[in-house]
Amino acid sequence: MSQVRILASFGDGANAARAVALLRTLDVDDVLAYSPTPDHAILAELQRDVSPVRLFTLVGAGLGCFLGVAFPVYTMLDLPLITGGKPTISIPPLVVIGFTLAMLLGALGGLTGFLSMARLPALSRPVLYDPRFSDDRFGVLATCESDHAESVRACFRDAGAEELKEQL
Amino acid sequence: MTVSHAPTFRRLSDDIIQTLDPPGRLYYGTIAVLLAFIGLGIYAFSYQVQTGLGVAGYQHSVQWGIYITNFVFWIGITHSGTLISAVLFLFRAPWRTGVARASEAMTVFAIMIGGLFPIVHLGRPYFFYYLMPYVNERQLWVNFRSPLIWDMFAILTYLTVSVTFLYIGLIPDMAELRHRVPGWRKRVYVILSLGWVGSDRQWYHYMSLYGFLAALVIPLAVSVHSIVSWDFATTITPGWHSTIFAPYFVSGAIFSGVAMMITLLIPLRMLFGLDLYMTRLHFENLGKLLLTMSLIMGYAYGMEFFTAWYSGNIFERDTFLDRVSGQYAPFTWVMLICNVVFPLLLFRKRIRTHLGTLFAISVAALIGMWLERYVIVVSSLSRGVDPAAWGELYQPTWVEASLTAASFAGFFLLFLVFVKVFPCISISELKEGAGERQDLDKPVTAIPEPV
Repeated sequence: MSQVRILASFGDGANAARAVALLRTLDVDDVLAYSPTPDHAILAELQRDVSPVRLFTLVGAGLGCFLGVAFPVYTMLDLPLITGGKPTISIPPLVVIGFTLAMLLGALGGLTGFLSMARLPALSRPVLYDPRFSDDRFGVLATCESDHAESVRACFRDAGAEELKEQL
Repeated sequence: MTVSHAPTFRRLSDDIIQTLDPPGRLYYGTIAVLLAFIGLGIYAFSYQVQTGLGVAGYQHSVQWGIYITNFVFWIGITHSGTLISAVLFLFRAPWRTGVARASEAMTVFAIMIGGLFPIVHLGRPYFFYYLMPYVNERQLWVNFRSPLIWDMFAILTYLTVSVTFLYIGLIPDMAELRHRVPGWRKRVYVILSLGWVGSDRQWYHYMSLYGFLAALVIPLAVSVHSIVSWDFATTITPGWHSTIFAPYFVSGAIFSGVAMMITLLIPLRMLFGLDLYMTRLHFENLGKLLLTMSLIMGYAYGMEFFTAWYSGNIFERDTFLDRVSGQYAPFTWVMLICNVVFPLLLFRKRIRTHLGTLFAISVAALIGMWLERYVIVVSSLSRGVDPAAWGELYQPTWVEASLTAASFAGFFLLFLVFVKVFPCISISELKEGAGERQDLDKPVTAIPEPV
C-alpha cells in the first residue's frame, strides 16, 4: 500500500497543536510540525524525548576539562621552568585552564550536537515545505497509508487547517 | 474560537525588518567619520610598529598605560551584553527580548576590540602568536602559571561562546529574512541560516542548546574578568595586590557594560522608531541595574580605601592617599563623581524613565569607568614600593590617543553595520512572546507594557 504525505497550514499555533493531538488519536506517528517560533503546545503534543544535545555538551565539557589539565601538566613537565617560586606542577593554573576549556569545548560540543541532531546545514528543503512557516504560518506534515488519508484530511479540517497539500 | 497569529506575526516581522532598509545620509556620514578615526588609528599603529614602543609615552615606572587601560575597559564592556541576556533568558524575563540581541552583538564587538590592545601593547606585535602553546623549534612552552596566558584562553573562549550564542539566536530570523529580502543579503541569509526550516525537531534541539549556552556563558563571563583582575592582583604592586580585585572588577565590568547598553540602545530606539519594542520599562530596568551596580562599586571603593588605611601597610596607604591627593587626583575625583555620585540620581523614577537624562548618566558612567581603569593601571605603577622609581606624570601621546579613538570608532562602526545587516531585535522571540498572549486583538506593543 502506498504512503501519502499531507501538509496542513494553520494561521495559529493552537490549531496546529490540536491537529497534532487529533493525529495522535488516529495513531499517525509520523508527524512533523513547522513553526516560525518555538511553540510549546506543539512540542508538548509531539512528546519528544530529552534532547541529546545535553550529552554532547557534557562530553565536550568533560573533554575540555581533561585537556585543560593534562596539556598544561605535560608542558610543565616537558619544560620544567620554575617561575615565581611556584611548584613545577602548580594547581591553580590547572583549575583556571581546565575550567576555561571545559566551557569552550562544552559550548562547541553542544553546537556540534545541535547541528547533527537538527540535521544542519541542510542543502535541500523538505518535501512540501512552505517558506511561510518561517514567517507567520504553522504547518503540520503527516505521513500515512493512503487508506488513512481521508481521516487525516478530516482531522486537519476539524482542527482549522487553512490549506492542505499532498504528495504521494 | 482562536484568533489567528498570522497578522500579528507579520506586523512584528515588518516592524523589525524595516530597520534593515537602506540607510540615509546620516548613517553614511557617521560611517565616514568613524572610518576616518580608524584610518588615523591604523596610521598611528603602523608608526608605532615602525618606530618602536617608545612613541607610546611609557616611562619609568609606568610601563602599562593607555593600552592596558583600554584592554581592561573594553573587556569590562563585554560583561553586560551576553551575561545579562543569558541571565534574563534563564529567569524567563519577558523584557529581555527588546534588549538581548543588540547587547549580545555589543559583547562580541567589545571583545574583538579589547583583545587587540594586548597585541598593540607588545613591542613586537607580530610575535603575538608566541602566546599560543604550540610545538616550536625553540622547544619552549608558554608559562601556564602566568595570568597573562590565562587571559588569552579566557578571552578567546569568551569570544567563541559569545559569537556562538549570538549566531544561534540569529538562525531562525535569518531563515525568515532569506524569503523577505532581495539581493546580496538574501544570499548571505541563505548561507547563514543553514537551511533552517523551523521543524519541531529543530526547535527542540535549538532550545536545548540555547539553554546550555546561556548557562555556560554566565560563569564564563564572571571568570573572564576575574582572570583579567588577576593580571593585577597576583603582583605585589601596592594598589593592585588585593583579594577584593576579582569581584570588584566583575561588578565594575557589569556597571560599564550596562552603561554601554543604555548608551547604544537609546539612539537605536530613536533612529529606528522601535518605541514599541524598547519601551521605557526596558530602560527603567536597565537604570535600576545601573544604580545597583553603582552602589556596589561605591561600596568596593570604600572598602579599598578602608583596607589601605586600617591595615597599617604604609605602601598601600600611601598609594591610596596619592590617588586622591597626588598628581592623578583629578582623574580619581572625576571617576568617583561619575561612577558613584551621578548614578544616585537614578533613585528617582522620573530620572530613570527620562531617556535623555539616563543617556547622560550612562555616558558619564562610561567616562568614569574608563578613568577607573586608568587610575588603577597608571597611578598604582607610578607609586611603587621604591620612591626612587617614582616618575613624573604619565602623559599619553598622540599615538595612544589615536589608537584609543580608533577603538571607539571601530566598536561603533561594527555595531552600526550589524544593525543594518541583522535584525537588532529577535523576531522569533517577539513572536514567541506574542504567541503566548491571548489578547491578540490588542496592539503588539505590549510584550513589555510601556510605563
